[in-house]
Amino acid sequence: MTLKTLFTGLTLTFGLPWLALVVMPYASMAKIKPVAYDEEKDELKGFFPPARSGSEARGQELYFNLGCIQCHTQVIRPGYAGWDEYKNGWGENQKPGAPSYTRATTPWDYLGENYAAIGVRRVGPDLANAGFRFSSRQEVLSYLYDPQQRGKWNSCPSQRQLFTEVKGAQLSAQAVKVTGSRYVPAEGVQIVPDADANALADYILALKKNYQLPASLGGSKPAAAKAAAPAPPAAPAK
Amino acid sequence: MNTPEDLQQRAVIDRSAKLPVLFFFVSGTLWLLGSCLLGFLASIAQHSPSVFDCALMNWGRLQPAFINAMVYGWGFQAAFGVMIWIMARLCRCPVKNPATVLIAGHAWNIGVTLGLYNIFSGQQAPGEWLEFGQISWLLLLVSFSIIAVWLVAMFVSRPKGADYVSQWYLIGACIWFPWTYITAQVFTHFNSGSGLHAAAVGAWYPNTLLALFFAPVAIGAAYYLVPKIVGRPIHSYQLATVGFWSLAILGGWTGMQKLVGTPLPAWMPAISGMAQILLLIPVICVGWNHFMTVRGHHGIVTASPTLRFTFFSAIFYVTSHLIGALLTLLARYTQFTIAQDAFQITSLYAYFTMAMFGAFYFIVPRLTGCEWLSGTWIRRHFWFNAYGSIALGILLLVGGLAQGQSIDTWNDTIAGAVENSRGYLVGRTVAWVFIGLSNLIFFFHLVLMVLRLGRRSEQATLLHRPEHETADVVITTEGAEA
Repeated sequence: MTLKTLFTGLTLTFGLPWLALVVMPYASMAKIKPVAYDEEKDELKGFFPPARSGSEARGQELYFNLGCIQCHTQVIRPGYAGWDEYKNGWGENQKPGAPSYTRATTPWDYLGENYAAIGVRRVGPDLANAGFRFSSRQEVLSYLYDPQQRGKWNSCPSQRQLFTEVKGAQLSAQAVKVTGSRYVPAEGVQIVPDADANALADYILALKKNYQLPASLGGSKPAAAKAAAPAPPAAPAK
Repeated sequence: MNTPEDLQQRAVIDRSAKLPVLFFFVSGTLWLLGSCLLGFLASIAQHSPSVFDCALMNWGRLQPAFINAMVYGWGFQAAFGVMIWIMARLCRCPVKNPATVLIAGHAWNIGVTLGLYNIFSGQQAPGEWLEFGQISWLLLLVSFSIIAVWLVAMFVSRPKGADYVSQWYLIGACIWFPWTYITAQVFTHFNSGSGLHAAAVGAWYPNTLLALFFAPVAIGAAYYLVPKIVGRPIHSYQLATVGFWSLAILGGWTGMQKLVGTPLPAWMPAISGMAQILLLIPVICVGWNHFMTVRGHHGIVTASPTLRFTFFSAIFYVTSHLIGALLTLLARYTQFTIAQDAFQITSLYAYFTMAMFGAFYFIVPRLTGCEWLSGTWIRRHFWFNAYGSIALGILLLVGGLAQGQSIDTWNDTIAGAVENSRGYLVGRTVAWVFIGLSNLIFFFHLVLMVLRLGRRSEQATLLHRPEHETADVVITTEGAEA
């Protein structure tokens, strides 16, 4: 085989998937932009999806940097690919044993992310709607400090490096309470979260990929509990 | 074929290739030992995270450190050594200016080290096998380009008639890798247009790397070694051509089947899944060709270390792709589970790494002028690795199915998936111990060879006396010159 034949052949054979599967889809996917809610049909103002705060963006960076993405996914697959839509606790409804529906993830749900945190493995649970799983920031921080508080089976590693131990008699407003942890702080020592721990907690609390779809995208407003719908943001996402 | 001029030419080529090739072999094997250790630690961190009590030893850092050390530290450097030597021999052309290649090799090692530092210091980038930071990927790209230019230059200046299948695969690997790598880096790290697209490219990259870099290097080596040791030409040149071009056509399409059910346009995972299953065509072409070349001489497979490793790797070339096809068909139960790792590890280890070991056993004695010290050590190395990698594949596949079954049960909590897979993960830890120990033996063996402390003998080290009296004659005289 001559060099020319070989080079031409290699360029053509690899060039086709490179263009068709990698380069060209970029153009259509980069066109996806936030969609404005229709006030009449959706009874909501603002844009879908809501914009992310700077702290959330920093939190996602940490989510990648610390390797959280190695174990967690953030995608609710439609029925043909799995039972994610009805999986207990993976949506807004956190009551065990009560079947409920969570809508499948759409391309809009990843707007504003430089790299969609879809993930590769489910060693841990899906986090697309992790924000509903925690009642307060305090609870997220306490979990990040020692995940095994939830049980010995839990294989989530501790992120204690994001916290500082501070000595002081006065209880800081920020101090994290841990119960049943292997890491019991000494008498008079408080565990105070660093800025990074707070950013990561902001990000986790904001993970609620079940915002009402605008009618223009085929969504319909929830029949009940409209008051529970997320407050519409003022500015569009990037 | 074995005129004095030929023998002298080969000696000149081997002398010119000696330094860079042995450098890549030794530093690659050191990284292999490191990655076996990391794989062992990562496995422990996954099933019992409380054993290690510091941020450095989180599974989230150990897992990418392990797989990146194996891919870039071991895989690429072993490939560089094998590519340089085979290309030089096939093009009958000494390696010009080996010092430059050596510098590129050092830059590569620095790149991998910096990348691992990034991962351990908590700065890993998203994307499987793309976790290294910005500086490392530039270093890796530049040093790969230098080595690729050397290989292509040898191919361009080859004498008339020095044409062989292996060269196509090696040239293919030289072109496909930088193309894939630049594409993946640009779209995942410099892309603010669509995070979803970045994740799609991140899923495409590892499979494309396996299909269009690791597979071609291992096939290229096998097409060179098998006919040489058996002493007859490859069974069918036509089948080899079909195998090569079908791999070239299909290799770039795979990977996105891992994202079925995500909000990508549905045709993208669908077409990737189809390509992954169709990849069985080139795989079976190559497997059948090797099988038919060796047919009637299977005694040599058990006697020759090189052929034994190469044959095992050819079997797992087919097996790993059957696993790949199975994962695609059973996506509902295998997506996002450790079964996906079964495909990666059987491809990267049971298939690619074993092929590289086979090539090492052939090449090193020709560079150092002495023979491997002990057939027993080689046998140990083979069996520990064979059982270890088979165990890894089975444990991850079955463990993944158990994990996936729990995830796909609507009212099961994640604790079920964790408990379902834990036993298999403990098994994986044990498998890494065996693989690590046997590679330690191999490393000592290799170092002794490099220090020229091997056997001084005209006879190659065989695993036992072959049944055919002619067989070892064939092995020691290197068979047919391709």
